[in-house]
Amino acid sequence: MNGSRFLRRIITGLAIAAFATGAVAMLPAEAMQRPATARQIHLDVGLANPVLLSDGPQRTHVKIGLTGFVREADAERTPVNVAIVLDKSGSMQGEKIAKAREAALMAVERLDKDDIFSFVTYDSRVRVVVPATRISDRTSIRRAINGIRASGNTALFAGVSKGAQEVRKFLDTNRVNRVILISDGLANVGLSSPSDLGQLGAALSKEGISVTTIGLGLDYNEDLMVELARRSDGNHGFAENATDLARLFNAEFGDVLSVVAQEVEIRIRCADGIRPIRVLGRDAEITGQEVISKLNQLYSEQEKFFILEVEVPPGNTGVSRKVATVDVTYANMATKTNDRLTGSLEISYTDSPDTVKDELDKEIRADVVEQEATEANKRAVELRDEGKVREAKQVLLDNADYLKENAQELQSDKLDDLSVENKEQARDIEEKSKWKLQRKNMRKGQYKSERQQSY
Amino acid sequence: MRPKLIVTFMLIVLAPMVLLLGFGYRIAQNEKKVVEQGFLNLLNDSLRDMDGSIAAFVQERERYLLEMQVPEAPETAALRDLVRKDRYIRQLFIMSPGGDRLHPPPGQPLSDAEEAFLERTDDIWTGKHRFFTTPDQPVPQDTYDTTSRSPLKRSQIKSDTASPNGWHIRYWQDGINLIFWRLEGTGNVIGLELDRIQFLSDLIGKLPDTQQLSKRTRTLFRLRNAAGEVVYQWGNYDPPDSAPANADLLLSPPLNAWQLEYFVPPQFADASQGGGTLLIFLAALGAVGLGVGWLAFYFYRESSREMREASQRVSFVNQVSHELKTPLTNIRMYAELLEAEVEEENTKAQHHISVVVSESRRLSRLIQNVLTFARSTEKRLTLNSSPGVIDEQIAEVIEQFRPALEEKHIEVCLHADAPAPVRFDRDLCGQILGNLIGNVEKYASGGGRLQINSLQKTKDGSNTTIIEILDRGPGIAAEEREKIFQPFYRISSKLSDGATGTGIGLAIARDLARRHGGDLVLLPETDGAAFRLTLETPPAQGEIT
Repeated sequence: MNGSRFLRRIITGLAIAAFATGAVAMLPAEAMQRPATARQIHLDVGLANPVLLSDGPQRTHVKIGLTGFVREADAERTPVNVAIVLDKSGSMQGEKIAKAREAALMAVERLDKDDIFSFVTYDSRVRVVVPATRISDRTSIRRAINGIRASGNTALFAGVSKGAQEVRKFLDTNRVNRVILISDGLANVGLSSPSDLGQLGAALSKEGISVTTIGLGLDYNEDLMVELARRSDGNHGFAENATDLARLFNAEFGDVLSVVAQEVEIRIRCADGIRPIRVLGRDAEITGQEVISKLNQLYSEQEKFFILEVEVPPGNTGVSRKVATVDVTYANMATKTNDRLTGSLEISYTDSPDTVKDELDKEIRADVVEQEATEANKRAVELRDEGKVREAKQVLLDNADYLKENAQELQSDKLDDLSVENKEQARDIEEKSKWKLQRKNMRKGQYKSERQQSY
Repeated sequence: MRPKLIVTFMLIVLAPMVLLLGFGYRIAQNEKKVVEQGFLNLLNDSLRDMDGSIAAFVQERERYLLEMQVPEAPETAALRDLVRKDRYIRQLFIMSPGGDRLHPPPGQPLSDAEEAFLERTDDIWTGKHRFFTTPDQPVPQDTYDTTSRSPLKRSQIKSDTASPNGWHIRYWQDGINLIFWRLEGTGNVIGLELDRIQFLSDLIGKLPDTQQLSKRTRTLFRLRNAAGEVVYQWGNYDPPDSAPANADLLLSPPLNAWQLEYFVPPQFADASQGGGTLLIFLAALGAVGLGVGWLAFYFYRESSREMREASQRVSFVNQVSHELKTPLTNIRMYAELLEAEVEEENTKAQHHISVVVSESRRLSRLIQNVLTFARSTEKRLTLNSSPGVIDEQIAEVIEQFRPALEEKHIEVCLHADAPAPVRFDRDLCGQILGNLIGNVEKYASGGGRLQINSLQKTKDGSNTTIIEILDRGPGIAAEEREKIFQPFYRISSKLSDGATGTGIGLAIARDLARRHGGDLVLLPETDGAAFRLTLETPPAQGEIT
């Protein structure tokens, strides 16, 4: 009996191996990938349309996907250097400040002795309540956090600056350096425009500090909060009620404690004749044929991607053409090395539209559609801000239709869900009383789509 | 006298107090100014310290920018990499000695960020603004020499400044734009645009936070940008919205469009105005007031005691005189009786008696004078008029004095021309005449003559009797013509040695004359003294008693 079981195991193992090999062989020929080893990030490049009609020029999309590797069970996670910046202005009185304190205390519990923690509160002035310190004396940290009371106006810019200063004290490329901002209100002392806060985010990102922003309640400035997160490559969360804070905090710390790579730099060099047009959903620098962008970090088992729209010149049927080379460098948190990944893309031409259709990469196309739908969703918010409610509604309805069409064609559940969401938003957008809430939700949803946020 | 005394008393006490109050107020005002100034100096010192910290931060940044390794011009990729990686700078340019742009590279596609940068630095590229490149070029306006913090001068450029550098400041839409430029050995100028927001965020990071300040220090620092907006603030004090700063300071270049303000709670500012001084001052005032008041009261008590003593003496004298009067009246009466009883043939006895009578009359007159004087001060004198003939009265008085006058060999000449019956106070008149004639007897006996004239006049329905008494004595000197009428005044006369007198005779005589509706004056005479007595003497109807 044992013998047959053993034999069965061998056969199963071989079958799996064969299947795996086959699977690898079935991968699109034009994509060269580094196989996913246990401790390297996974680079996935592809074209939405690997085959295009020979008479052009035509536009298509390049997708560059990066996935964080799985951490080994016994591997130590990347130590954390986090500053929590809490708005304690008058509007936070009551349940909000209580829940915020709770969330902060919970964060302290999830960190361990190798992590650095600091706590900054601000109203019209800033107080560094817990200067950057190792988590050795939880009691005194807890006491400091519990002693916070709400009052005053809001100096958001100064609060974040002080938080960043605390993180800077122990700034290390081998740590996850992060500021988590919790605010329920507008910034009314100091710099307060989204572009200013965005510029601050960009400057901090250069240092390797990301800012995650969590908006609490219905009165915070969501544009400001999203812009700060966007430019610093942090996350953005919306806690409608104070009770949501704990959940969001947990999710954020889930990300923070799962960073596997940092300082991820992506360079795309387009071949001659290929014209890079724009990057969807992310910031990138396009200079001539070169597209440069970066990510501050990658989380374990999460994919973040770039979509680059390119214009391809006409070509001869059957001929392949080089589209671009992709160069990714990053700091590997597990091996503590600087790793490099490369990829390249090619396109081939055909006369047959059917072939083009058949060869369409449905997944990439779905990702493209999602980004385009997000752009439309943003347009709807702009229109509504201008008071053009009916036009906004129409944009959302059109968007819902566009998404539904593509959902069916591409067999994408994700697009289907988005379609339903847009429809609901179209329905609610006319109600004045709901707009504050809806706008925050929309901004949150847009950011989540653009950045593939996990929560 | 009382109200006058009280007024004087109050004046004595109040006058110095008012003066003191005045001076004290002036001093307090001055001190207040001094303390205020001292306080302000303290605030300004704190501000200057803070400005120093901020300036140090800026200098640190300058040093970094000065020492930063910047790739050479055509290494575009490396330059772009630098911009991407360096967190302090937003963009950079490189300019050739001729003013041409070397980076961002001309004639090549640029990123959006680079295009925006060229827009921001438009003034440099269109030639409207030049950086210093050669010694003979004019120095641009808003360029600062970082070592001396003053606008560059041509002479400084020629000197040993190894690598000239400075700040180019521009006000773009979103605020102050700081570009640090430096001249390289190659003659190129590198311009490094400071990331304004990052700079501000770093500055805030370096400045104090409110937690680290002691809760007892209740002050507030506030940093404002060029537009007057609050950029950052720290401190445990929350001033009311519209309150102006207690002190402020413009920062050192290149941030000299920014301002630092200092707030303190009002009670600090007020305390600086020397409330303590006021208390001390009031205490001093009170002390002085008390002192002067006590002094004045003391003097008042002393003077009133003296007055009381004086009046006691006076009343004693009056009492004595009154006591003397009764026995004297008896002596006179019996002496006069005796005079009548003594036989005419007994001339010796007659003479002795006449002396007794005369002296006792003199004594009587004296006592009468004293009593009159006392009564006059107490205002108890009233006229007691009865019908009579003036001339008769005169004759009577002369008769009384006869022995004394004979003794002193004074001849009496009488021109009596007041025979009409009139109403007058006999005692009063008698007293006046007695005093006047007594004076002649005492002081003018050397002249040997007493002249008495009397006449009566009727004018406008009023009747006046005038009596003149003249002598040929030494006369009265000009300076003493009024003094002799003052009570207690006696001419110190060596001529009339041995003469006695109280000095109140003429005073009384005049007083009585005036009570009788008339007056007593001294006539100007070169030979002796001449007194004119006038009395109001209404005509008597009918009988002579």
